[in-house]
Amino acid sequence: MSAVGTDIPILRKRRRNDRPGSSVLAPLALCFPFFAFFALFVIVPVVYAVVLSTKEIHRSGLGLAPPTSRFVGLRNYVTALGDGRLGGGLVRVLEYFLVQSLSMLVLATVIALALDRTSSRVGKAVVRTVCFLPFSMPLVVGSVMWSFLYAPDLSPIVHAVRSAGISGFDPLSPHLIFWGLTNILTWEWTGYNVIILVTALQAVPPEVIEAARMDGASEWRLATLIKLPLLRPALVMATLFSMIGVLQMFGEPETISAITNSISSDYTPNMYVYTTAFTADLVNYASAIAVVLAALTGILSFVALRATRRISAV
Amino acid sequence: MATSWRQHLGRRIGAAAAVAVAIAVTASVSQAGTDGGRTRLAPAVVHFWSWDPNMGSLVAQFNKSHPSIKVVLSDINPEYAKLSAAITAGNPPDVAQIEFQALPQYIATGALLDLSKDGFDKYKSSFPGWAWSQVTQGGGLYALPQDAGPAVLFYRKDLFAKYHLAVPTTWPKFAAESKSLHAANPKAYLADFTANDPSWLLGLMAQAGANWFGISNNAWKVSINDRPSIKVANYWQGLIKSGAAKTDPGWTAQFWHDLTDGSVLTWMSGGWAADLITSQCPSTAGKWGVAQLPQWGGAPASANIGGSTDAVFKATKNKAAAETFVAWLNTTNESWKNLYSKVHLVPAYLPAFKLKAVNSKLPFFGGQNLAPLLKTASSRVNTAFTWSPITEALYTQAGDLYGQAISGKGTLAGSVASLQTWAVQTLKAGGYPVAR
Amino acid sequence: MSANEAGTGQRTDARLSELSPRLASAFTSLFLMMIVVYFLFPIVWLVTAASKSTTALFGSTSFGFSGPFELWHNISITFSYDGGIYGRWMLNSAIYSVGASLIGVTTAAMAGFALAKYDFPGRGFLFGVVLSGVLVPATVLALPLYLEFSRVHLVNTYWAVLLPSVVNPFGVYICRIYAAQAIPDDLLDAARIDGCSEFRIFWTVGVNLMKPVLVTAFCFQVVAVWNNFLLPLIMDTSSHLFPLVLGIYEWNQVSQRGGAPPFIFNIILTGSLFAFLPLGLAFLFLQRSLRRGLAIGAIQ
Repeated sequence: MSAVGTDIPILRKRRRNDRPGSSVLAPLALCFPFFAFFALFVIVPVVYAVVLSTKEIHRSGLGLAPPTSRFVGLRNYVTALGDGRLGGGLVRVLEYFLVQSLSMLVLATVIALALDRTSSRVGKAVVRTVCFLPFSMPLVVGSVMWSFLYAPDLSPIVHAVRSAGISGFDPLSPHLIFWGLTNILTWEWTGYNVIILVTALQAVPPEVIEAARMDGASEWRLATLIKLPLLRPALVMATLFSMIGVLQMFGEPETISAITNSISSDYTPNMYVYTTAFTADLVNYASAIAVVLAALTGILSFVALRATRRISAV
Repeated sequence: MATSWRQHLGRRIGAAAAVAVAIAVTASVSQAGTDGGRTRLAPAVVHFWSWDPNMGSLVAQFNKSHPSIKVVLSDINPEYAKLSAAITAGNPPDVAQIEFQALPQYIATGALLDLSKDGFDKYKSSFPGWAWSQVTQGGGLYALPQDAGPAVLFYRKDLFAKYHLAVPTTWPKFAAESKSLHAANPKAYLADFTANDPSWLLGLMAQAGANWFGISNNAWKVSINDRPSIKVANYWQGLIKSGAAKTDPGWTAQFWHDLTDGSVLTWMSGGWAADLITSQCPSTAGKWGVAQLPQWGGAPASANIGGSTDAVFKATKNKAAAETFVAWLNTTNESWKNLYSKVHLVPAYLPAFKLKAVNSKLPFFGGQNLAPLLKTASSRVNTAFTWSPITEALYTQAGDLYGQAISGKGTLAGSVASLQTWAVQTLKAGGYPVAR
Repeated sequence: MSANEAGTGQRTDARLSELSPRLASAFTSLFLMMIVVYFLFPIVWLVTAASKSTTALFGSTSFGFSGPFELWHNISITFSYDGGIYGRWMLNSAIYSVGASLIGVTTAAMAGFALAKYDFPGRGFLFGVVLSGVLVPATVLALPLYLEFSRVHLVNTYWAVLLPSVVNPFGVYICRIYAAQAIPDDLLDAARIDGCSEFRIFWTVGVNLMKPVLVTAFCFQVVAVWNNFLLPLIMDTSSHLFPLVLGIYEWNQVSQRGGAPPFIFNIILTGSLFAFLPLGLAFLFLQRSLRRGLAIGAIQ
């Protein structure tokens, strides 16, 4: 169409008139409502948190009077960077990303592709709804549920494993807790990623599939050589959001910590932020840890995006 | 035309939004309790934060008998995070229920009213010495004791009979019976070491004479790794190592199941635990007995686990009404009749132990009247026991450390030593002076 | 794959290639069935648990129904407990999630569309700001938000939870990606030539083509706000403002204190079951209307 347009001077002229100053106003106006909310309810609190992170509490005497806060610059950050509990938590969530997130994404891709080649509409709807249920379950509900499903004497799973003759199976024990929590995360979030990938697969033009089939491609070749590459942007996005989610893991380990001795209050960095802010009442230090966590997440996301862009460019 | 349709819609939305905002603002203003000027005979509003599920009936009772005061109850769980945030923002409630262990933290915010200036010292003799000392600091009185948690031994009478166990009166006997029970039935344990509930272990340490904090020369003293604490830590370490104590986390479905099916035969806890056993283990009705804790020797001792106070905030706009309510709730028999039977609290108020309602025979506990037992236990609590301003964080840290010790990474005694270092660091980080 | 070659090898090959699609199909179905079992198993457990009495609940490990079937009884005490507060909590959750998501998806769609289809100064910066919005953990934003709302006396009101829940950076992200792929520039230019204002173009052309991603973004945001726990925990002190997740949390806390009614665990489990089933039903319904919408789009 653009080829035709450039041939006709009148149309060309009108095109240029269609990008006057108002075309800068229009997108900004469209963006305004979102960014207004964003500024009020994200940026303001973030700025406040950053300001808090540069302060420290000061008390006089025994501490019977309300404390005052004074500016200490980057001291909280220096402490945070040397804090073994924060470092340990970071290493741990990275482990979860490498093991749980990546395997979950592989599983989600396999499910999405399997779903795509299913012809039964009822089957598809059933699987999609079943995928939706786990992550739509509130964490509070999940914690009650898993406290029964993992309790050594109340769990039908443990009971079944024991009946099969395997001893020492306790998903809450220190040497199995990693897998116990991995299972909960996988159970909860695989469906979410399946839905993202299935939505992306819906964007694949059916003519492309038909043409490939007519060329005699097997289903396997279809999946790996055509659908997978077309899924790449969605997979990149899903991986990125998984990484951010895992780095900020809070709810799942927090709710499981009540039923096991194997999860400490600083198991993940975000749990450490919560404990420091709300239990220890050290809001300043908690803000510093949160900023470090956010910065690290940002750097890793940036690196990840750059890396995937370079791969797709090749 | 399209434009006028859009203007019309816009006007409609704007009007609806304005109405919605008006409703919301009015609602929040009235909740803030500033309706003193609305009608001339409006009752004074007192906002009361508590977490006990049945406190509402007490509030209703008070409002009925005191028509010039209206107490508005907010049931809040967890209360402390919200309370701290509200104090920071400058809008705390008028009255809040605060546990003994958390009181110093709130005294340190400077937001609590010193009740001694309004004549509340007259109640001193109505409360046990330990309770009164825990609500006073630096010469000021910052709350009235509400309920107590004198630690006693809850045990399965039926299973004790089955395994031919006597009620252990000393800790060495308790250890011996733990081992013999577990040898007789590997699935049964005398006690469960609840690493995730450090208040439980601290209670047992306090019974042995531990006192982790103190104030001297306007500075905090920290002595977490004192001899009684190490003694009790080693005691339980021994039981766990020999397999004679279970290590399931407390307050979980698994824990109630243990108490129900006889995997665990006892629970040492504050008197309020009677109510929990009743509701969480209903099929064991009539099978329980209650006794004093095993002793270490010397003068008989117990400890207080849990228990709450009620404090009034300086920012209250209805001080007289708030104080009237606090006094009524905690120091009148008419309140305690229902606090015991409806909210199932154990009185800190000593005269309440004479009430008939408090001395009821509980069928769940085989017809036993727990009141005399609890009153005696309460009288054996160390009056010098002091809490620090960092109890919540201390419990979290202790829970982490005990959990690691249970999992084989270290010992309980080592945890206690680590806790000492941690507490000194944390007090300093919070700006508190620490004595060396 | 020419069919002209003769020989037994080729014939077995042909037979295999007949068999393998069917075998692969069977494997696929089996695999999907196993996945369904894995996802449904804990939920089925929840249903059976909600039908048990307290004694049966703590007394057994059995997966199936055991003891008297008390589901209807448990449902009725759940909805009538404490003056029917459960129904109120459910209504609050619906108000918060649907309200915030309607506004949220609209603003996200507008921003995503603008960021995808216009080239304007600051576009990259704004998109970076959106992405950075998901980086900051909510645990540290809770207290500053509380102080912010406290200053304007909006704490403990519906706005305290509704307004911050509107922000949906993830929605902007997926709308932008989708709009970039699914909305051809030529279509927009054609509409411009016809004299449409930019906003009209968004509402008619943009929204129509973005329907699938709008439905997805709406579903995800509804779930996120429905399950948001930290924000209402910090903002609300009055029980009648609680969303369902906070209400169940309160009941759970209450079950650990003295004075809780003996059936507290039953109402926690039954209440939990009904705390997210409506979401599943809504999703099923929306998926069907979405498929219909997609079909219409395909015909066009």
